[in-house]
Amino acid sequence: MAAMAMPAGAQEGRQWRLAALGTTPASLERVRRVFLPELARLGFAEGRNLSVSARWGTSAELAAQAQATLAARPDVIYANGNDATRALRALGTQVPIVAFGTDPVGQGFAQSLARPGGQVTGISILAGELDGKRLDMLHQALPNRRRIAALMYAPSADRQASERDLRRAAAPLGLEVRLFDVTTLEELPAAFRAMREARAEALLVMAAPQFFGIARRLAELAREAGLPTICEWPLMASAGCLLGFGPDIDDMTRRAASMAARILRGVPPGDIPIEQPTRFALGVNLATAHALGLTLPPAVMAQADEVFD
Amino acid sequence: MPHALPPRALAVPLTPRPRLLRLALPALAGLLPAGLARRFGLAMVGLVSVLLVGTGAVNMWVTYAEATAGAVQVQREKAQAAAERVAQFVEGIESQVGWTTRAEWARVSPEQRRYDFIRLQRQVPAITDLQYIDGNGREQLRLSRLEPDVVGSGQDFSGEPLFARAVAERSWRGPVYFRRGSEPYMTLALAHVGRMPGVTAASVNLKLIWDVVTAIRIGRAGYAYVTDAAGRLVAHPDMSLVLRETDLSRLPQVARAIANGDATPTTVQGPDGRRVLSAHAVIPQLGWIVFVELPRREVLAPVWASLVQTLVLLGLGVLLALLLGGWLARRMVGPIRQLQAGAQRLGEGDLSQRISLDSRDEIGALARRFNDMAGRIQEAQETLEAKVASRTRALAQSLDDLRLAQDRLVQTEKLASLGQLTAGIAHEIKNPLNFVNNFAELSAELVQELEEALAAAGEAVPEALREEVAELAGMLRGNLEKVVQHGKRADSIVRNMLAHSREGGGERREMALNPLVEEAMALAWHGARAEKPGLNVTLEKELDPDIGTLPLFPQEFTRVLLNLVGNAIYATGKRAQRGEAGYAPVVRVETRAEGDAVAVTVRDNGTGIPEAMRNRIFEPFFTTKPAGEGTGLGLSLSHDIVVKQHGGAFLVDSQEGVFTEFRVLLPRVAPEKEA
Repeated sequence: MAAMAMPAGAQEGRQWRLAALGTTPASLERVRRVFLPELARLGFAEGRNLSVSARWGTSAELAAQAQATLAARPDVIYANGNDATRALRALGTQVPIVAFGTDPVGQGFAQSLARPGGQVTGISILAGELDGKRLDMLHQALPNRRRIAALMYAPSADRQASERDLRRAAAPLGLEVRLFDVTTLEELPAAFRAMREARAEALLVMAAPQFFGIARRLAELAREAGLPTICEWPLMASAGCLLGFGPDIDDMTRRAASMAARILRGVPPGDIPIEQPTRFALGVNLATAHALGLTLPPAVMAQADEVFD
Repeated sequence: MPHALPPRALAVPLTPRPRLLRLALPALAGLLPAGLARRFGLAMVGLVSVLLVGTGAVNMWVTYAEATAGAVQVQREKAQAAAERVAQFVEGIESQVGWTTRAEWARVSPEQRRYDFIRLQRQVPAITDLQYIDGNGREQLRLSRLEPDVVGSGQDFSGEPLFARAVAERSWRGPVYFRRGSEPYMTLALAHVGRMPGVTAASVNLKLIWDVVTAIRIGRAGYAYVTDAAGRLVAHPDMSLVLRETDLSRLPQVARAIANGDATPTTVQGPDGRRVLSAHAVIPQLGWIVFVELPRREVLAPVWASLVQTLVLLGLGVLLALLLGGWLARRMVGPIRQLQAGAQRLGEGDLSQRISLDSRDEIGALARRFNDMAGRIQEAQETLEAKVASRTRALAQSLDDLRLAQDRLVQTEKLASLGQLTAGIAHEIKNPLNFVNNFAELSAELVQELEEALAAAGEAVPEALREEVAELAGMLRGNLEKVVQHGKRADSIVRNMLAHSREGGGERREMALNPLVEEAMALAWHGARAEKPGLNVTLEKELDPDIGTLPLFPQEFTRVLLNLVGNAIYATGKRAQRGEAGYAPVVRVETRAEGDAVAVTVRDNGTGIPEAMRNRIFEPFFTTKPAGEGTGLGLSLSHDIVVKQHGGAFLVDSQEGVFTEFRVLLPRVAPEKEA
């Protein structure tokens, strides 16, 4: 690894290895679409001086995929989701990791956002805070609906933290929040059935990479259940969620790519501050609103950055 | 001749050799032929180098000064521009926020306020949180992008600077702070219009200044960054530095900017450790400082380019100078060597040496001068040789003449003294001789008288006695006759001797020589015939008819001629007595005009004069004739007459048993003293 300390320019002809590990196929799709082009712009192009290996796995498969990822002896790993980062760290590797996740300090990945000090740097998307904000948004859109269902991804290690953040946000709004956990995606229909039985009036899909990839399915189930739904990313609104609120995920992915480039150039990951989102966007799916027979208040529409008909 | 400065001494001030040159020159010197050419070439290289280095240095200095001054000016303007853009960014947010501070805003419905806030947030992405605090300092509305909105919390902000300072000063810009230890934020608070004004406070995410800062282009590798008044980094193209809450107050340029605001750009170390030209400008509204830095290398790029250009020019110049110098030197040295070789050959004595140089320059002129000089030397030498030869000849001639004259002089002096002596002796002898002669004649007369007396006495004297006396008287008379005869001869000798002392006797007259010669020859022949009736000799004469007249003492000169011809006839007679078969005695007399002189030559084929005697023949009383035949005074007298009296010369040449030749040279003009 001594060669890593040398600047990239001094190693013409050298071949770098990047590994990407995600929890859903969608996250790898974003690696292809956004991460690698940005990395190529910064001088590390796949096929020229960069070889890429990308893997994903469900919670059960992650450990094995993490092992396979490390076996490729990468120079840097892009880990999408805290679960992926955790699986890699569990193997005791010292390979630098650019983690796309949330609360790395709370997770013990980094000592602080400004000076991570270890092998991990990356993006913290503030998932906990934003879950609360999404609950607030859902409330603004549907001020009269007080029984809110929250869909949780149970296997995630972030599960408890998410619940804590959510309950803290729900209290001042006077909302009744019920949690519905799924361990695998096969349990989703059952979970929606349970929501209906619990007479839930609206649905908050909690931040989890596993849900991002199945936005369309979630939206379908929600419509069947007649539940207005708020999802993690504006993009998910285009897939059918009534609302989607979150950071600009492409922008954040590009930031992560620039961090990977700096690591390839020899900067220790512990010296690269973990970045937080700056820009946020609200996506509104008017087709879904119409299907549900809803009219959204002007204050919500005023915040919308993207509207899908 | 004063010595010229040695050329090296001249070359030195031309060649203040920098190290490079000092190293290069010996190497270059190897390429040049030795001697003048090398010196010339090196001087050329040195001169070109000095010129190029000089102009290069000036050029570089000017480029350096221009680049630095230009960069300083540009940097200062860039810093000002950057400061304005950062200020515009903040002022833009303020003016947007200002939209919520209108007077009636306190009376609009909470829904409307919220709606306005939402629109404001949408308008300005940098605003993360918005607060409305009413005139009493109570928070009425809080909107956040990250947290649930809060309506009417009633939280008391009346003591906070964002309310108190904003109300007092219409607006307040809070210090930069970092959320979660990483994100730079600043609070902007604007007081509303009207009595008991409320305040709108916005938390601004300063990361968005990044867009502004990275958009500022400073040269190729330059950059801009912003610190707050305490030197903490607010914005930098490298976001990491900002997120790490970097304190730059220890950087010299930041410290200087904080301390006194001196805005002159200086060269310092940038945040990344490189040498940069740093300029800054203060944003007065915020107290922030915008730094604009350009890597020193980029500032100096034109200088380096100029240096490279200068060095390339220098190298080319030196090479060119070397080639040109060598070529010129060879061109110059070739003719000079020709000159040198020519001079050397001339020096070795080859005066016909000429240098064939037809160049029109100074060396050509020098060669022509050289050729002229060689020609003149050759000419002078030839003339000199001729002159020396002629002078030597003349000198040798003079020497011969001198020696001859000296001999003659010695001889003359010797003869003169002898002549005087003999004259003296003759004078003394003359009187006694006269007595002898006179008394001898008298005695003879007395003997006559005695015989007459005897005859008269006749018979008185016995016959026998008479006959005896007569016999005695006869014997006496015979004796007396002999006394008279020899007395006369002695008298003749004495007269001749006296003739020596009778210089200048007679008169010198201008007269024809040839008749004199003919007369003398006839006289001599008859004289000789008188003595020797059987004389057999051929007299030849060859007289130059053009001789004309000469100043002569005729009597004396006739004696000379008689003497010479007489001697010649005598010598042939002597030789004839030897009875050589087929011997034909010849005496030849010649006259000839020889320039200013006239030569009279008397030549015989007689016995000749032995070498040993030749020097003595002019001495008085020296004679080769048997006693009684010559007095030994003839030639002595003739010598006196020719040399002393006529100022001429008397030369003799002879070979024993073959010939004798006397040659008398007479001047045509009488010597002054004789005139």
